[in-house]
Amino acid sequence: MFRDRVALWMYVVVGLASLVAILPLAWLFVLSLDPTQGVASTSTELSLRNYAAVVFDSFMGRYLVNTTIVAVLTVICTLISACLGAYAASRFRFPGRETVMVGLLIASMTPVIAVLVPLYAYAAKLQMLNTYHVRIIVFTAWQLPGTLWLIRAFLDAIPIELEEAALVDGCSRFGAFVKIVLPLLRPGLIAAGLIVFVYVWNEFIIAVSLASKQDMRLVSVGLYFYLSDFGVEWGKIAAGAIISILPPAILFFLLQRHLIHGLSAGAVK
Amino acid sequence: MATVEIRDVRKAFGVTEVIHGVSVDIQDGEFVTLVGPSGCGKSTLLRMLAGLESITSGEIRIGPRVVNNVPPKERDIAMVFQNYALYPHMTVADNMAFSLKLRRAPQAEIAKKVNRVAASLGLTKLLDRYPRQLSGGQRQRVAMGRAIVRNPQVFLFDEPLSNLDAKLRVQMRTEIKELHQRLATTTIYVTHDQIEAMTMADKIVVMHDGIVEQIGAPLDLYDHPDNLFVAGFIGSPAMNFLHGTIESSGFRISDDTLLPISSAPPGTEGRKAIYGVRPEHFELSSGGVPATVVVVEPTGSETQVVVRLCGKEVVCLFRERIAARPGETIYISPLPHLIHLFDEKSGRRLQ
Repeated sequence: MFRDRVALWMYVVVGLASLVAILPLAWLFVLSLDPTQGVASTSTELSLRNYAAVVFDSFMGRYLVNTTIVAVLTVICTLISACLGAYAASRFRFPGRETVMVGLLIASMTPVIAVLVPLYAYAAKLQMLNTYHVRIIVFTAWQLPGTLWLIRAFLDAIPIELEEAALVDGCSRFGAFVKIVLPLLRPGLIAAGLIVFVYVWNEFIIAVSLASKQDMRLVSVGLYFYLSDFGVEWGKIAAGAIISILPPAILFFLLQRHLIHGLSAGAVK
Repeated sequence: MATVEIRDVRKAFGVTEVIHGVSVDIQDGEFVTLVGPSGCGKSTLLRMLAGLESITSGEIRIGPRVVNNVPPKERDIAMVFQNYALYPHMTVADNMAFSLKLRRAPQAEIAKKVNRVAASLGLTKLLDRYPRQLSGGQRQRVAMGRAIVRNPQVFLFDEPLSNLDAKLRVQMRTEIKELHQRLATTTIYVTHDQIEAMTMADKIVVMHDGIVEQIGAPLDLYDHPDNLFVAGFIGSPAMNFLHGTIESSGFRISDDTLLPISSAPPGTEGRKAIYGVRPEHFELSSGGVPATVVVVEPTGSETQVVVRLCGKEVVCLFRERIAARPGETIYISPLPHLIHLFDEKSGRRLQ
């Protein structure tokens, strides 16, 4: 089957690595089907009771809705801001351009914990705690620098002559952007959007600091409090974890073609 | 009336001036080429005509209108780019229809115009293809079709044939010229290839380092170049230049070599000058000057011979076959009425 011995070994190594990566998830899945709530239980009984409990008896549904709202709106705000900024960085020459770009990147490297207390203080003063918009704003600010750099790379790969041709054909500058550049930017936008979505979905520190009320929690926070709210019910926690993974996993699965195309298209010209 | 007037136009990028006061007058329906080496400012000038670059000072008129501050879409021009700039996410038909759709023309009219232009360029079978599915020549035709559909007052071409292979370039050159004869639209064509300029243009504008060296019909530039640069740029192989002194009966390039001239321009006797003679303006004559053959390059229709004349390498182009071999001596004579004399310091032609 394998003409090349090297290929065979590569498959073995990659297979083992994949196994190592998937094993915790597989264990988690098996745990979620165990109704005895023991983490090292040797019982072989399988049931969906944990899932039923999580779905019907807990706030998981509410958490999923909250997280979806915050993540989707963050993606939209980030993409719009990043597109405009990246267009300026890519197409316009102005003094201090590269300084601003590098400055953005450096600023984004600040550890979140360092700014958490001031952030909380601002949010409290402005009476924005436990709202959607405070988290959307903070997450957008957090994701904007990286997304801007990514989209600028994609924009640099789109020849400016296409916009010039559109200008001559009758477009305004903005019209050329919408009609010509955006369709060509689609793979980059999908890749960037997916990355932002997953980061926001998984984020914990900001989420737990800025929203403590139960009905406003995000899924990452909800899972955490599940531990304390109900004692240590490992099966239910595992089921909750599996459910919380599902939306980004499904999104990834549906869009993976675009993601791979988007991440590699920018690299090859 | 699609005349184009460029009046003392200057362009600076920051403190660097790249175009130093260019003036050109283009008549309605004329085919004008802007030609010059890379970096001479011809593409910048074209882009200023299109409205893609701002004008630092001076005036550009298209027709009766001053268009300095008019955006590209309102100048009634169409442009063909060097790398075609076809919209990759649209079919050929959509590419050609784009400008009409922006003008909100009725669907039927758009279809009619696109089909007509596509037929004239042999693109009818390709209308549903995407640019990535086309060859270089096909893409070039689509780019031209996109420009033609707009029915503009002026066509602007920015080195459209540079990315094509030699054979296709020759074919497309003829097609563009035929197109111009058919449509009679004012055309401004930028190229670095002087053969393209010579074969296609009604008028050539030779540019160098941001200034215009000479404007004239192709054969005028060939027969009467104003200065050294134009003389050396137009014509292939390039003109030979020999340094020496003008005497009453000829041009002295060394103690024992006098080259023929038809007549010394008044007041130039004894002056140091540059003697210019095109490779095709030599003849083999026993009374000529001796030259040692370096290389013989027969092309079938002509023979190019590189010889050493008084220590300087000179290129000759003969219609007839040459039997000489490298190292042998032949006797060549420039045709006196076809030589050119240039001032050594300024490079200007001596009348």
